[in-house]
Amino acid sequence: MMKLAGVFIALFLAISCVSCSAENEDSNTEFALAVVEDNILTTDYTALVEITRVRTSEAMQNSTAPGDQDLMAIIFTAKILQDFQGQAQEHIEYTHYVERSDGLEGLSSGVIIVSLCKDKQGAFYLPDVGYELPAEQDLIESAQEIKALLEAKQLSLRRNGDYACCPYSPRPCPES
Amino acid sequence: MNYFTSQRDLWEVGAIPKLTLQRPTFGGGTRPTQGGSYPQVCGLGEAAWGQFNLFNPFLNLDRDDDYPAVAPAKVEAAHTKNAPWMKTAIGEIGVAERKGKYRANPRILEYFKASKFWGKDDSGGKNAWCGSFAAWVMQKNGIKPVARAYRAKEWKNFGKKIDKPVYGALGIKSRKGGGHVAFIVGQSKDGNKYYMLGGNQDNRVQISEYPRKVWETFVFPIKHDASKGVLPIHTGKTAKAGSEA
Repeated sequence: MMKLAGVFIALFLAISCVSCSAENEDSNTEFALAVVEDNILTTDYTALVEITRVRTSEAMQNSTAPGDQDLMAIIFTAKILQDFQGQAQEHIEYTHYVERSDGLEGLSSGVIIVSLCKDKQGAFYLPDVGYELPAEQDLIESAQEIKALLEAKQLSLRRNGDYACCPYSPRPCPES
Repeated sequence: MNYFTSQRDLWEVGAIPKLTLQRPTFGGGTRPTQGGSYPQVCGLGEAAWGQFNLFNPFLNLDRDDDYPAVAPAKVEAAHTKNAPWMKTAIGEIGVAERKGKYRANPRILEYFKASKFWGKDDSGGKNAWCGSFAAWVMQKNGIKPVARAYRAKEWKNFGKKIDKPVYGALGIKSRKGGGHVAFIVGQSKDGNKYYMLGGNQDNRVQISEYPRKVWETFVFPIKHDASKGVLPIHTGKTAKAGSEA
């Protein structure tokens, strides 16, 4: 009897864990889905890319701007698999500025959806947290829908009024 | 020479990955005292660091004990009365990232959830969690965070802007490709330094010392009266670091 009870408890816990985990996965995708449109419409370029090369740069070491010395520039080279907004290209190179103490942990790899800004010199960079999305089917389909709406002029690019924006795009930040 | 100062390939498709997850070391827990700058996650690296784990020792399982402890700052009940969310924030001091991919601290994943961020890994620049920490603290106190709270700079849209920071206000600053947000807990005697309690400050929740000038904006929850607040002199010992040492 005790053994049977033990089996039931173990089974219950296992089912709880599975459903809990599934719920977390769903909510993660749900969170990301909520920002696909915003990311596409408020940045200079969005695409599904495959990262092919990652390297560090000395750019920040030579910068004299306050705080730049504490940042590390990581340059990603990626193959464009599908673009959703912005100029179509075969490959792209963009910079991700990270704090030195972040080091090289958790760097992106594989296939991702990335939204980028252009800097003063026209080079692409990752503007902030959350502009990189996992290449999940729901998210790709959502991005494709937004691309279609843009092409049909049912949606238009907008200036981001929430500070996290592309400062040198035709739709500059409110503060710039 | 380390990977921070050298330019090199980390990996390329077709090549053997040579990603080295080396972390900066400080020689037996001793911080650099001269020259250079000090790494600081989700904020400017000039920051010094600190502090305490006395408020919630059970949450410190993921603490990095390489860092020498310093004396805790006094938390004045009078201050937390005007900013009740600070009790929650203080209680989180010591929560730290787990090293390695896919080994996230479950508490930090809770922070992510509060800000509606989809990240599953608490380490690395792409999942910087200072904004998520602020969201979690506010949410725990019945205060709605800003939309996309995982982006530090979005917090400029939170509550009301205040000209003079008071205990518990959220400070926001910018950097290339991001920003930082943290709760202010005090200032130096000369007023040139601010002491900020924030998430992802050197990969953990802690109080750090920053130059006053780096903070662009301070905001306060709209339903709370900032005019009753003050900014105390920070009395806790804080280790100096980098160029400020």
